[in-house]
Amino acid sequence: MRWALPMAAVLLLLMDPAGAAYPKLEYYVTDQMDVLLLEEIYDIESICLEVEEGTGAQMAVLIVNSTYPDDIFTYTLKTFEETELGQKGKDDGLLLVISVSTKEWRMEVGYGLEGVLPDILVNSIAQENLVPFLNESDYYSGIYYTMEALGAVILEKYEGKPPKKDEPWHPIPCLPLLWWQLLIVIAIFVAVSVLTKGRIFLFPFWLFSGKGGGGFGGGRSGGGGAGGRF
Amino acid sequence: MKAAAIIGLVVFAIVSVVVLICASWTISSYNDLVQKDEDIDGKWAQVENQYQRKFDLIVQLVNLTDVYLDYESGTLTAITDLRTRWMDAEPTGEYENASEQFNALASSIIVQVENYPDLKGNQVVQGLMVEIAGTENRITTERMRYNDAVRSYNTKIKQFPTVIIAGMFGFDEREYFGSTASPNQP
Repeated sequence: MRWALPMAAVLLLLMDPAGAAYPKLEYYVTDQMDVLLLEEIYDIESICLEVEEGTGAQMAVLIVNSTYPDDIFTYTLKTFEETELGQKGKDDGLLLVISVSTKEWRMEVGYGLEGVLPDILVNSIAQENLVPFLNESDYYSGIYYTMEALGAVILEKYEGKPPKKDEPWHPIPCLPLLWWQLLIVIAIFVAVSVLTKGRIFLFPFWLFSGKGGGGFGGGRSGGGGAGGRF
Repeated sequence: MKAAAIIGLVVFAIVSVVVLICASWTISSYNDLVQKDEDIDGKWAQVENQYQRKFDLIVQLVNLTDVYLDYESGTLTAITDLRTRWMDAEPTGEYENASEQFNALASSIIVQVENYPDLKGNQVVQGLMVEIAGTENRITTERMRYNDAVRSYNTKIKQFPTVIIAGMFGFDEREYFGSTASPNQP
């Protein structure tokens, strides 16, 4: 026990004090401040889903208390990179970060979407749809109308392809195997277990180390977009 | 006789394995350094692109608002000169000098435009201002990436044992680019 304190001190020293952590987003909408109701989150996410299914472009929203110690610009860019928004090689992602306590917003547009969403357009959409509502703390309306307007532009102009829809269906979600492949594996498993007189059952766990695919893969953006105060 | 032959063979095998490992390590380290070096050049090209864009946009802004605002005579020439200096600059220090002067000049122009009431409603001018702010953000981003690439390279060539390869093939330290332009919000 008497080692606990020095060890904690050493651990604290080992951690990089300057290295701020950036969230790796897993959902279209991440509300750290609970300013949105669950239904409202679903509403916004349905727009994002429609856009991704239509074009492959990924839009995400993150609401935080503050971006301290970074400014909102750096924070948004780093979160964008960390999350790898957009499809791999296309970088067709878009991230809206709203910092509640500092009353700032910033929209980061990936390289792939800069063509259809130039800064001027992003700025004007935000000035019309986002800022007036954020001023009244109506986060839902602001985000919803902004995402709707941006999504409409992307759906209309962006010629991206959605991720492959004809992905084969896997009988076991965590195993990327088709029915017949699964049968072969089971057959081999049974044969091996008979041959080894069941000792193979000591190591069945390797089967479940398979990783689910999909997700984000882009994440390159050049600082395009817009931002401001509300 | 037979024992000696076996020992000889074993020694030969060990020596050739060691040589092989050394050679493959040298090649991969060298290639890694070349790649990192190229990466810096690529990142620098991005910084240059964005700076050129900012030069263009500021020139456009000056041309557009010349009628309303009383710029000091020779403002455009000053921008063009700075641009030429920037393009011709070799060492990073010279770049920094030129871009600092350019940024100061650009800021003063932007402040003048912002403070002129008649231009507030001018859509074209406001659009340009948004674009300039966006370009400044892009410059910040690309400069950050350039500096990250330089940091990664500089660390690599100073680390043991890569320092040997760097010394043998003359990989020199690269310079950071630390201009004072700060990210701007439109």
